[in-house]
Amino acid sequence: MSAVLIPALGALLVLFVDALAGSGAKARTTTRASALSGIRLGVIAVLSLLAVLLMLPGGAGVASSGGLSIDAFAAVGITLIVALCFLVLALSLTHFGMARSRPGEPIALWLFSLSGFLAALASENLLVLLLCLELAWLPPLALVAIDSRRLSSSESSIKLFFAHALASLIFAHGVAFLFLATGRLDFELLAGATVVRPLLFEIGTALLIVGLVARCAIAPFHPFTPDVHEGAPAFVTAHMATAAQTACFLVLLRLLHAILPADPALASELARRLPGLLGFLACLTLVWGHAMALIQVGLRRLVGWLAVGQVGFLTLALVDARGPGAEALVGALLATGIAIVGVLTTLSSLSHHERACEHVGDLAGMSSQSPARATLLALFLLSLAGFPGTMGFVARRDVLTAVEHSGHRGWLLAGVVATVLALTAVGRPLVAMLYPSEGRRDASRALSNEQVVLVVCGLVVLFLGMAPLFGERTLSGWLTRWIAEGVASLRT
Amino acid sequence: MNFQFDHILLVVVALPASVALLLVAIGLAQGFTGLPQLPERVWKAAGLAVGFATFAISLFGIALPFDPETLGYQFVATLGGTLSHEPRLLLGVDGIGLCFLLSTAGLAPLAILSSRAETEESVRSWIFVVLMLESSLLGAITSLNLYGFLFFWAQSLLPILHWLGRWGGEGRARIATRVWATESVGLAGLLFVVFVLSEMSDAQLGQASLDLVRPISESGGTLLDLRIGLADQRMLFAILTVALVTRLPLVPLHFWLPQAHASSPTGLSILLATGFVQTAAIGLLRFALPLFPEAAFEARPFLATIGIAALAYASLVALVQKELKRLLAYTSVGYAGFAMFGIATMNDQGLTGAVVQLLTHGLATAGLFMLIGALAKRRGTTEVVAFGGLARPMPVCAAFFGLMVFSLMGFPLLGGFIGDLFVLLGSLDLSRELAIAALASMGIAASYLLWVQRRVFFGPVDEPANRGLIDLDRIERAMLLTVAIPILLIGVYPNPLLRRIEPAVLEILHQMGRASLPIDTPASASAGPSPGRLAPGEPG
Repeated sequence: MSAVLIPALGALLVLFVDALAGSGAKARTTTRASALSGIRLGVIAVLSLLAVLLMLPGGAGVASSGGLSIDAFAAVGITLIVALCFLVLALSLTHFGMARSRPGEPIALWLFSLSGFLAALASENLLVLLLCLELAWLPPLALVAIDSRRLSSSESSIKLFFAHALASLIFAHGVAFLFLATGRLDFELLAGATVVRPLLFEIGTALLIVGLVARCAIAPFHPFTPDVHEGAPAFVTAHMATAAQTACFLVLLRLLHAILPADPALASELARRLPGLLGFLACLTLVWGHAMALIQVGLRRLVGWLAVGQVGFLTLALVDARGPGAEALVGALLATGIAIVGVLTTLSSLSHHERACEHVGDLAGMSSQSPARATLLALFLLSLAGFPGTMGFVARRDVLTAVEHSGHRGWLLAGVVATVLALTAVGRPLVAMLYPSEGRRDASRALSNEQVVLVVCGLVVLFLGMAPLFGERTLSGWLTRWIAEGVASLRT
Repeated sequence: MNFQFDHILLVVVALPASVALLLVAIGLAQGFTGLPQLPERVWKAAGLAVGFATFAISLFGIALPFDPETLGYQFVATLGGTLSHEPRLLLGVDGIGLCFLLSTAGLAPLAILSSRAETEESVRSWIFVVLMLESSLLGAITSLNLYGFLFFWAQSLLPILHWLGRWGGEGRARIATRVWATESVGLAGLLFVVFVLSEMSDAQLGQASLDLVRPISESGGTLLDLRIGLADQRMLFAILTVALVTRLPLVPLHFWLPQAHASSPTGLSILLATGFVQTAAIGLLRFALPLFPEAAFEARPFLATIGIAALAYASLVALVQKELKRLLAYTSVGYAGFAMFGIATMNDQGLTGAVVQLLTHGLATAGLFMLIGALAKRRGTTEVVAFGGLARPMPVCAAFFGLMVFSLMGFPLLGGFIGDLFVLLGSLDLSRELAIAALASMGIAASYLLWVQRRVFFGPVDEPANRGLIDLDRIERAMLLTVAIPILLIGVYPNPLLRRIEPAVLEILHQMGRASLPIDTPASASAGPSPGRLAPGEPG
């Protein structure tokens, strides 16, 4: 059995244990019972994640089973997602603690979704990929709507459902057209396939890529992102910003490498058009996301729009997917995921019991009331904006250098303009934190799990931001080489 | 990690920030363990001790052993990977960097001292801000690597944002946001240039190095070895110049400065008017001119015209200011324009004059900010109309004010004169009409400076509150003397300063292909092919 299916098994086990725990009124309501249940189920989830890591093939090895194949590239993606998932799981404890609800179903849904994303990375067939993406995206529809007290939660779930339905529809048609054009669905066979009907191949490729573009929330398919940030619980948003984003972008990267017809004219036409299309969409997303972030009053929507802007940067890396852009994309996914998890955790720690921290102005007094969290929030926001000295800057530098390497200086300029917008957008919360509190209540204390997440994210953002100063022999040098080896397997 | 302890510049740059972070770490540890916080006087003492220690190390460890006869950068130090494609810190000083380094390191402890009364409620924040700002400014001034310059440039924004946002008085949110937004533009421009040069370096030299010089122990090319086409030079020079002049600040990108000065305590105004401005000048002189020589030479008339227009505009606006700090801020804007005029001459005299002018103007402005701070402490206001006839109750204050104002005006035997003279002499080579325009603008600047001096210190003492004002105390006199002595020394005997600046200027001109060096040295040999570095096939 493939390692990527272990979270799904874990999810079944969670449901089983949860069912055994009883369904009486006491089991539902008492804090102790809820906490014990949470610990039990959390341990299952952690063990599932650890098992995935342990079962990954080492080095350049490949583990195949039933349409799923974990090569070095998939292993990089899976490790990245699983590492981020530990943080998401830690963050989810806050929700279960505060909501006083039984965590069985949400954890099971989360594990199912995670399994789908991991399997998507390991797919070696378009049809399997379609099924994996369905498995991955259906549970979040329920998870986003889990906070039934809030209208925005249900609203964002409905928007996510429509976005998902549209993306699935387009992707499924793309698969069908490609099959008609080539008679093949395996990635391995698609590369260098003889195209019987070039028009169908072009339409199929376009639909396939647009389907994944929609999954990645690239403009104009992005409107659900700020709503999810506003309406969904923090851990669900974090899941979408880490596992979903990483998996979808890496699958798109794999497809961009895999689809290369044998006909040189068609191949060169594809190689010419695709970067143009992706570059245009990237610039649109960059400017749209960051410009909208400038005018947001709600904190969560501001972070949501900043996340849209980040998607623009990630897309920009795809312009040079066959060059250094691929490595830059993986680094940028890690940087974005860590920074967004950090921001969400900080906001979550400020919003216990009643959602007190909703607007930018609610941050007033934070620098004096909780300076450590204010510093960390500033660090994460600066990292999102690509400020020098943070991990976000290193990632942005790699992406923009790759864009310059591909000879698209106009898009580099767009990236720089977007950086100005991003820095200006994060300037408002930064300044707001410095205001005096003017009689506002003290900020709520961060829970232990949140403290752990904040410290880990802060250390990673700072360490990997300063890492270039410490040379290749450090952990960051090893990380860079590991990512490069993974991406190299994609090229071969 | 590659670190050599004999690299004294690293110590100078890192010391203030390390102590600031250590103080914060101790505070956090005490917070977690429930122990009482370090008293504010410990913070003050630590801040002052570090400030003076940094200056002492700079003076005795760098300035005195500095060999003015040697061309190129001295005390070159690296921090970072040994492989040249990695971003790293590469620090070093030439004569220009040395002057700015000493000026910033010397003024930082004075900045702490001069804001004792204004920062009583926020001593810890204040010490932290000054020390972090000092480190980042010193880092930018000594960076010989564009990546390091960008890093320190960016880091210097955070302390200022923190201070203005938290303690900047009425309307601080607007001011902090405005400063942040303007500086974001500068930062993004620098980023663009870094990415493009990094890629060019990778393509041409086989390594994405952003170093200006190569330490002796390493081989390979530098940024100065790049062959950049004229079109690329024009674009990169324009973007880099715009990025840098956001901080100089040059009209029309100056709008954040008057408000920032008005909202800052005296100490922050001092650092804004000196180190902050000098980092921009270093960027222009060290990176913009040598890397894009043909484009820079083409832009001479435009830059000179902008500089003169800035001086004239700022002088006219200063004439109608009713608040002393804002007035002084416009003086800074005007003289930044004059420094740009000097840089735009791109000859030996003009560049030397610009550097001397930036240095002496910084010192004189720092002195004036200290005096305005002293007046504000006594009267609780900095409105011009609140003063008059202060020479009678405060003769020492009036004398120092006069000295600083006359230095700004370019009065002979004072530091400002040397800078102004050299700039004007250099400008004759560029355009006599512009030189005359510069003189006329300087006349306007002199008129408002004299007007404010007369309005504040001479005439009858109309306000009863001004009659009993106490003159400067010993600490204030000592601080002002510390600033006044170099102004007088430079004015009376400028040779030691010029001996250090001129070789650095010659080196810049040599890198631009506009001058030949008197002697050949390893440093000059590493400066790349000259004259000019257009890509093959490019029209010159």
